[in-house]
Amino acid sequence: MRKSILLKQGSMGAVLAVIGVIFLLPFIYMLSTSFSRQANIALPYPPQLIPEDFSLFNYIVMLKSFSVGLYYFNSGIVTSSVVGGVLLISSLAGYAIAKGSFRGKYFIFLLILATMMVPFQIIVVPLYILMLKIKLYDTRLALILPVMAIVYFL
Amino acid sequence: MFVAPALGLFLLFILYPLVWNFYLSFTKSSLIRTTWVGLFQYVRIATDRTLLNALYNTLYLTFFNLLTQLPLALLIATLLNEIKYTRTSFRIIYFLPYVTSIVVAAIIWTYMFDPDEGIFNWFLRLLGFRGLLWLSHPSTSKLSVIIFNLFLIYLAGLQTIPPQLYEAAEIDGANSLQKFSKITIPLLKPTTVFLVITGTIGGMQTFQQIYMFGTAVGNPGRSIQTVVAYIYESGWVLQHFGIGATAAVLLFLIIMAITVVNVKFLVREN
Repeated sequence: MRKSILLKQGSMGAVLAVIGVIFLLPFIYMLSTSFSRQANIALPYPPQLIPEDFSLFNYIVMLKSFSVGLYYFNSGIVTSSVVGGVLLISSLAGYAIAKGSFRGKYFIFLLILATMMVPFQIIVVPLYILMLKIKLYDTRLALILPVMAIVYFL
Repeated sequence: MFVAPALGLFLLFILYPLVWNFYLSFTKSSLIRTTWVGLFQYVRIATDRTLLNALYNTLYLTFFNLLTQLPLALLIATLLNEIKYTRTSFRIIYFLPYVTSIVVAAIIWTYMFDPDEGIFNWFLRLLGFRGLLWLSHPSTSKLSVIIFNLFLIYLAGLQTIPPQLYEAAEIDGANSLQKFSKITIPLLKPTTVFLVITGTIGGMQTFQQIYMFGTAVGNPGRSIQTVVAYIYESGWVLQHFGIGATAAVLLFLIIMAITVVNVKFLVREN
C-alpha cells in the first residue's frame, strides 16, 4: 500500500517536473543567452547552458547605451500609482455597489460587465486624441489614469 | 457618492473613447482631417478580404488555443492538487510565464523558434528530424502561435480544491479515476466555464504576441494577423482610422455575440 502511494506520488512528480522544465526553458534560455558574448551577433548554436564565451558584455552595453534606470523608474512609478489608486477607488466603489442601495446601481454593474468585453485597442485611438486635448500627452499620468480605469474592473 | 471617482474614470477613459470610436466608424479620418462618410466604411469592410482573413485567423487561434489549453490546464491542476510534496515550487514554476510580460516572452520565443539557430530545431535535429520553419512560413506560423499561447497558461483559478477532500476520499477507498470524476471535475466545473468565457474574450483580442512575431500585418503573408492587429494596421500604419474604428465596432459585436452564446450554453445548464 505504502509502496503504491510512493510510486504514484513519484510518477505525478515526474510528469510535473517534465512539463515544468519545458515551462522554465525560455527563462533558462534567456538567462544563458544574456551571458553569451557572441549572442549580440548570432544565437549560440548548438544551445549551451553555460555559454563557452561567458561574458558580461551584453549587460555592460545595456547599462552604457540605454537609460535603463529611467525605464525602471517609469515602470515603478506607473505600477505603484496604479495599484495605490485602484485600491483606493475600487474599494470605495466596491463598498457602495455591494452594500448601498441606490437607483442606477444595477445599471452601473451592467456597464462594468459590458466594458470587460471591449478590447483595449478599440479605445486607444480616441484615448490618444483625448490625451492630446487635455494636455496629458507625453506624460506619465497619461499611462496611469486609463490603466487605473481598466484595471479597476478586474 | 463612493462610486463617483470610479465612475468618473470610467466615463472619461472608457465610455467616452468608446462613443468616440463609434463616431469615428462613420468617418474617413487620418486624425488630422476627419470627414463624415456615413455607412461607407461598413460597406467597405464587409467586402474586405484582409479583414475576413484576420477574422478567420482570430477564430482559428482562439478555438485551438482553448482546445489545447484547457486539457493541459486541467491535467496540471489535477496533478498539483494531488501531489503532496514540492507543490509550492511547482506552482511558482507554472505561474511564472503568466506573470511575464507577453512582449518579453515573445522575444525569447522568437529566438527559440528561429529556423537556423533556434532551440526547437536544434532539438528536432538531435532526434533526427528535419527542422521546421516555425514562424517563418505560413504553414507553421499558426501552430507556433498556438504553442506559444500554451506557454501562457492560466492556472490560478484551478487551484481551489482543498487537499482534505482528496484525503477524505482516499480514506473512503476511492481510486484515482473516482477522485477525478467525483471531486476534480464537479468542483472545477464553474472555474472551467469561467475560463472558457474569459479565455474566448481574451483570445479574440490577441494582439501583443502577433505584433511581436509578425508586426501589425501578421507576417508571414498575413497568416497570423488577428482582427486587433488589423485594427492597429488600419489606424497606426495606414492612417485609415475610420476603417480601424469600424472593424473595432464589428469585433466588439462579435465578441459580445460569442459571449452571450457562451453564457447561455455554459452557465444556464449549470
